[in-house]
Amino acid sequence: MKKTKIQECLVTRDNFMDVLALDQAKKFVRDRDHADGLYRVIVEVLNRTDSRKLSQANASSHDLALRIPGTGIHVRLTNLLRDSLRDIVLCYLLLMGHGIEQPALASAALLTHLLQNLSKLRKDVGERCVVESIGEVENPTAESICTNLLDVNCRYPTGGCQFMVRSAICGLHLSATKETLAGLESRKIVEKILAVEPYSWRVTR
Amino acid sequence: MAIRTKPDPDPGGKAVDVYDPVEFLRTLVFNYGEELKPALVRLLLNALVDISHARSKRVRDRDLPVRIGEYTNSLDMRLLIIGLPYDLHSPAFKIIYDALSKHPTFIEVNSSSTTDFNPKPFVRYNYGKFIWYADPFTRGDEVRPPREPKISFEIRGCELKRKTARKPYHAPEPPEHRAPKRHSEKEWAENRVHILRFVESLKDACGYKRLVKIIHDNFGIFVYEENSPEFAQYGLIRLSSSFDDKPVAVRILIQRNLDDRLKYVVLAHELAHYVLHFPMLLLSQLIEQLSWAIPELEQYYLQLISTGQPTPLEQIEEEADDLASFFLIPPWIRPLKKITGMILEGRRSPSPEEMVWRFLQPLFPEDQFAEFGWNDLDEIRARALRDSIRVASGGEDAPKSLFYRMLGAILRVEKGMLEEITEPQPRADWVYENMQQVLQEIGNRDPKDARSFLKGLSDRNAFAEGNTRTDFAWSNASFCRELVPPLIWNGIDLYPRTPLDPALYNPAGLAEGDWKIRAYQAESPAGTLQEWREWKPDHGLVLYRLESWQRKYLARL
Repeated sequence: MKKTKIQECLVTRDNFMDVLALDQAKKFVRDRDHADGLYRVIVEVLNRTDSRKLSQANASSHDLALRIPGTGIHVRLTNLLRDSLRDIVLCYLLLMGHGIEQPALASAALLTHLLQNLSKLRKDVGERCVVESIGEVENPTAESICTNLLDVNCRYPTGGCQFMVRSAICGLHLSATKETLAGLESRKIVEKILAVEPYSWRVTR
Repeated sequence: MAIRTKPDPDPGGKAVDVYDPVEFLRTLVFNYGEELKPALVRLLLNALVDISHARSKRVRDRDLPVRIGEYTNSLDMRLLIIGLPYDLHSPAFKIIYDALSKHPTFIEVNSSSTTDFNPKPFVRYNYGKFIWYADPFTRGDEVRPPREPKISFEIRGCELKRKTARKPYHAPEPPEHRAPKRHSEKEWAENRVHILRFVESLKDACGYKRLVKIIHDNFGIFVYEENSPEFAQYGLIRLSSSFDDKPVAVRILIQRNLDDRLKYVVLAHELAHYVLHFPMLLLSQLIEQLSWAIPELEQYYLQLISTGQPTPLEQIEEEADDLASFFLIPPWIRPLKKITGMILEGRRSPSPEEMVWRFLQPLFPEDQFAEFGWNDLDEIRARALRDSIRVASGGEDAPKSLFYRMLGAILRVEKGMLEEITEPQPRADWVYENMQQVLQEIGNRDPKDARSFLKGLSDRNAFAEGNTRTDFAWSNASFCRELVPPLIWNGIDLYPRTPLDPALYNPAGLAEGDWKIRAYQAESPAGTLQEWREWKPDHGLVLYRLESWQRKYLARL
């Protein structure tokens, strides 16, 4: 059985993207307000697990400390928790695509629904990457989703994706992207924003 | 400017040219119109044909990509801009200028930053070859470039490499001063003058690694990064133990799990503590040691620094932030209003608050405005205004991060709340003076008498503040220090403490391991925590654990 690596670390508003290795958030949540919102969501999620305890830095008489502004938390980080936090980041990005200015205030039900939808996605046929790209690109048309993925490093090299070509490079072409989106639409995971071409996509709520 | 061709074709099967980012272009500016683009493209292609037929080889043999972009200026004029390489050979530029400037919508020739109008290449003249760029999904044979009888186009795709953010730091003039590694009040007084001179000499923020080196080499302060889970602070300044009035070593601990840009801010803050509050640190060290026998002393000190509105501790932190802010926006630029008055953007001067906000962006990670152009100006203004209002209003809902904390500090300093940088005076000095008097007072009494005197003082202070003395009874844990109540304890009173260090063969300081008394007197035997507690059941214990750099150091021995 694979040994789970547990790492104990201090997570704060200023370092959570680095410490939790949320690369997607680092790249796409480029606004301080949204980063605040995402941190609130993550603290809320960690609150519901046993992995979190509030960090307390008490006053001591013999040194001067720069205390953490806001909430700092200690997290026992496992690979499983790291993956679920990445899903949360993706949900947050997808909610931003819905024009929700403060995704942090989105209801828990909506978040749960999105997480359920994410769990239905298959990595081996590129569905997960396509949905991730919807949250990442500015105007999520099939063309921009394809441009976002094609010819760059595969996101899940161990996922056995059928579109992976030579040494873990993505080969998801435009036609395949369109078909994947159509398939996801039929399963009510994504929907078109516009009824005319070029179609823009978002996840269903 | 480098353009290379990618080894793999795009989805339309075309070769792809990859453009390195460029800062500036020479631009030809036109009044935007619906039919303008095709007309300009025609004129431009004619000019490129002229270049290809030029008699001079220096004009003919060149690589000349042409870009196009749009921009709406502050007068709400929509402009179409043709961008040419900034260092384009003059005769070649003249051919293009002569052809395009004939158009009635032509306004001016300019040099523009590429961040302002986001130009994209659409055609390239490459040593006699004409390349037309099309979108990545169209096949080469489906593209319809403009019909020009004298030109045969090669169709390619085009990719622009993103600009990598420039580092906002610059190397400072290294100070000539070399401070000793041990500091007494005399050495500190001299050292702080040099540190303040160094701050004054800063032309710009200097970056974390450079500051660490300067602090260590020139100012004699050790800097370590701390990553143990119990280190729940961003930074800490601490003195080494001193039992015989010898000068002390100063060390700064920085949270390792931070971006280097944030570590720089934290380090500046801790250095500011050294400059402003070293006597206070020395005093705290003395209080810590005296509290082993007279624990009421620490209780009284904590009471002094943590009551009031704002508390002296909060004042001390604010003072350190204020001085640290000069490491972010250097003194020569302050006050910012003297600079903003000279700037005119879109018919008005930016406010100092907005300028502070803009200067801070590249010094903090994560925000999109670390690199910005004129296109974003309205949004920048709105966000700067919103953030300064948030910081000024404070309260529980105010956003809490290092960025907002430093923004608050700089705005405070901008309003003139800090005196001249050369002579910053701590505002919480009265705590120091009060404690000096108390120490003098208890120095003349025996320990038992001193304890009851301090109890009385604490009670009076607590009563005045509406608290009880026991509210300050146990601050049980801080970084690498833990107070354990005695076995026999009534839950209220304070008991003398036995100061314990982890024994050398238990460097991790595990609770079940071996500990020895922290003293420079005769070596005390090591024992387990339980043994020590049984030895003096009516004593509390104060446990000093090792910091991670000390553990590493011991492991190497």
